[in-house]
Formats: sequence, C-alpha cells, structure tokens
Amino acid sequence: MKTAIFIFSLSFLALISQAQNHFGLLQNARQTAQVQFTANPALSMGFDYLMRVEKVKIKGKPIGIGASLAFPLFSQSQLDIDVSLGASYLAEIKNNWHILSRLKYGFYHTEDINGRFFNHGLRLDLYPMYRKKTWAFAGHLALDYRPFVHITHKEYAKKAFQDLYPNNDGNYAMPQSGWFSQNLLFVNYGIAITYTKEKWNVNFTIDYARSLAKLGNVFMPDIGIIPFSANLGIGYRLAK
Amino acid sequence: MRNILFVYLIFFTFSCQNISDIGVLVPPTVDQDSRLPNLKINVAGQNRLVHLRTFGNPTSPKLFFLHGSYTDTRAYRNLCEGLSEKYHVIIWDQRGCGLSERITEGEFTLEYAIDEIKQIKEVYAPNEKITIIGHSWGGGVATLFTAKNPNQVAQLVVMEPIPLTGADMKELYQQIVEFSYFNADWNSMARQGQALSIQDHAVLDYRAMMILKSSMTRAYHCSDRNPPEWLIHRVGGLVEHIRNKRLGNPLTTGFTYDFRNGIDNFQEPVLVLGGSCSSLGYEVQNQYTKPHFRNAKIVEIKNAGHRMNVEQYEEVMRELKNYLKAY
Repeated sequence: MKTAIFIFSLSFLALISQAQNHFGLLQNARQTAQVQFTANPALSMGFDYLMRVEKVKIKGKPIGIGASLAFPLFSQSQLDIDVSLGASYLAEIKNNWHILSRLKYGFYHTEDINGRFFNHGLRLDLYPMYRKKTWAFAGHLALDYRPFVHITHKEYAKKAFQDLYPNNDGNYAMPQSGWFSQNLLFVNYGIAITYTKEKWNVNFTIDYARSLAKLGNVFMPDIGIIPFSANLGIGYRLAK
Repeated sequence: MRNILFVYLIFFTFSCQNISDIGVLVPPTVDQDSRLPNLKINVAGQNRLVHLRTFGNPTSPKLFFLHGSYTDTRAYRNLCEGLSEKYHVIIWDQRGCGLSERITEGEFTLEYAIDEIKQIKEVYAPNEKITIIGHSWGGGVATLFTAKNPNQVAQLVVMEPIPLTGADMKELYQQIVEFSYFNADWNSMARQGQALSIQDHAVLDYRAMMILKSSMTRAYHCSDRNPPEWLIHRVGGLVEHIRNKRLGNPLTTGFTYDFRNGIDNFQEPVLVLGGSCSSLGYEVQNQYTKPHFRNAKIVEIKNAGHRMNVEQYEEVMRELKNYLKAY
C-alpha cells in the first residue's frame, strides 16, 4: 500500500508541477499536457505537464513550471524511469525574435545486465527562435550536467572480478557499488520547429549530441549511428 | 537551507570515488596490480605489460592460443588446461584486452598484432616451431602470422576465424552482424551512455561488456535459452573500437584487410573448425575459409555456435587431439 501511495504521489507531483513541455508557453493556455517521443538515441516515451504561473512574472511575462515522466520503449529492464522538474520562460527580444528557455532538474534511473544506475543533474535548454503566428523556427543549445551516479552492480559485472588471481591472492574481489563522481556533461546543439494552434501544438527538435567526456560516444559511429538526439512532442491545451 | 546544501556538496565532493578509479567498474589490469601474472613486451615502440598464463610442462612443444574479439583468455582456459597434457600452452590477453595494459590507438595495427606474437615467441620458443590455435579474430591473426612466418609454425588450427579477406567480409557482413534500432539490448546500452560518462577506458570497457553479453553478432550459441557462460575479465573497449576501424567500415571505406596473403607458403595441413549453428559456422568456413589454405581439413562441431569451446568442449577437444601431432 505504501508503495502504491508513493508511486501515486510521485506521479501526481510530476503531473502537477510542470513540464518539460516548454513549448506550451507558445500557446495561449494556462495548462498544457504533452506526449513526447525521444531518441537520444535510446528510444523513450514521455508525458509532460506545463502550468503557466501568472503570479511569477519576469518583465511582464509569466513563467511555466512543470514536470516530466519518461519511460524507455525498448529496454532490458522495464524499471527505467526519468523524472524531472523545471521552469520555462519565453522572453521577447525584438519583433518576432524570442528566446525560449528551460531549466530543469532531473532524476534518472536505468537498469541493465551490468547494474542499476541512478543519477541526477541540471539541464539548461535555450531556443533562440523566430516566431510567427503559428510557426516558430529555432536553434537549440542544451547543457546537461550530471556529476554523480549511484551504481549497484549485478552478477554479470561481479563475475568479471572472479578468478582474477592465480592463487586467489589479491585485493579486488568485486566491483564497487555506491555513489561515484563523474564528469557527465552533454552538449546538444541543433534545430527545432513548432507548429502551434489554439488548442494544440506539435514540436520537433533534432540535435547533434556531443559528450564532452574524454572518449565521447565512441561506439556509435562503429554501428553507423551519428550521436544524435531527437524529440517529437504533441501538446494539448488543458485549460485556457 | 544553506547548511543542508553545504553538507550535500561536501558529502558528494569528498566522499565519492570516481567511476574511473581502479576496481570500480572493471578489474585492475596488470600495470595496476602487480599480483597479476604479466610479461613485458615492446611493440610499436612501447613497453607494455600483457597478462599471460602458461599451462603444462615447459619442456613440451609450444602451443600459442589466440583469443577472439570482445573477450580475453579466461574464456579459453578449459581448452588450455585440456591441451596442457601434451603441450606447453601459452595464452595471453592481447594488448589492450582483458587484464593486459591498455594501449593507445596508434599501437594497434595488424602488423603490430604479428609483432606481439613474435615478441612472445622470442621469450618462450625462440628456436622452435610453434603450434597456433586461434579463435574468431584470433583465427585471423593466427593465419596472418603463419602467412608471414611459415617456417616458424608447425601446426595451425583456426576455430571459426573471421572472414580472412575484406572481400569475404563484404559478402558475409550482413549475415554476421545483427543490429536493430529497436533492440532492447542496444537501447539499454545507449541509455547506459546517458548514465555513465565515458571519461576513461574503464567506463568504455564496462559498456563494451554489454555488447559481449547481448551479442550484436548472430548465433553465439545454438540456443539462447540458458547458454553456457562465457566468462571474461574485461573487454578492451577502445581496442574493439580501433579493431573495427582497422578492419574497415561497411558504410564508408569498405573492408580492405587480408589475413591470408602468403599463406600458400605454409605446407602443413590446417584444421578448420566450424559450429553447426553459428553465422560463421561450418557452411561459411567451408565456402570461404577452407579454399584459402593449400591443405585444410574442415570439421563441423555439431550443436555448437561460435562459442564452441564452452558449448561443446568434449567435441572440440576430440577434434583438436585428432589433429595435433603430440597426441
């Protein structure tokens, strides 16, 4: 029962707080929801909610706060989940030029044959855009920094440490589980396009995903994949 | 609130190890732990320690065993122990793989792979012919060493070698490599890339282990239900990446390598083993590998995939003993 309450609370928190549906700010709506499909390059599906907060304004423009839940579509484990909370802001620059920004804090859990991984961190998205009544074309720059990860190794990873020393005379008996620091910094840059109507919007972002880690995404070119990230979102106005 | 934030930062900053620290993700290599057996060799102008083990009586004829890609010596210990009755078996984690010291990209070429064998032969069998058994990638390298040094090899066994020429690989690539964007294993590996930063080799190796397990190559085993374990210590992630580059890329350069150029000079019979279930199995070996040798005998290992030595150990040992002169 406690677990059910926890999951319900978590979902509720996510759904009421906001959304990574920052494109919802382009709509004349107080609340919007969005379903999104992401390839980064792992395929996932997410649900977002965005609430425009009229009481908090910057230069006369309200901010949006929101949350997001995402699940992988294909995975060795179905226990993968991403949860994030954040705020969005649409700033008017001049004429039809705007900057849409989003700052969010995310919690990410994934599990595979090697182990279970939980990390968290901050992400900033910036969309300098040219906006007309329905269409908007934007550049995209995102920084995603997750400096710590919790690892719980599974049997598969542990077995690599067995039978290591000829006479079992050595120090390393298994991989270490726990919290670890790392330098997980992704920089995404690309383009976005949105089409907004009164009640709904469609947005599409495609990025080149560059890891600033020392070795980057080494394997992907080997199997013919450019490290990329793409996101298709379909938003709907819940309340005007 | 400030205090909580301060404690939080202090806790994470000073209490955490880094994921690249020794022993966090993958076992230490011989340069990181002196208790592991090792041998220093000089290849590509670099002194490197390799993790090397020997089995059997040092006065017996020398048998060199070359492991495949995405693996190390550990997976072959059963064969090494089995053959140690009549041979002095020398097996090592090829440079950059397993518990051997990691290398840089410039240190890995086919020529350097041959130099590596020469260096080890200088230590263990400087004045005698050796028997070589190579599996998969190791079968290709064993063929190349024999082609370049036919007078230094007494016997050659290739267990499902990779296609020996780029032309063969071009024809067989689609049959060997399986990749689907909607594959759960691949998606999980990509997702792990969002959790762990590949900031150092250890993370790359850890991630490469997923390819070993999930197999983007078809038919490691006859049945994927409860296959026998393929135990390894470490996949050399960077080496696997470089190996792909050296062999060629089907999308860009094509495959230009050649393992068998000069193999005609080797007069002795060669044993080729192929599993009945593998995508590199008997049929492929019979059609593509066997014709490259002047005198080859090919044997099908029934009910075996690519990892025949764990799936049908007795059968493989029987065929090896039938071929090897010391038996």
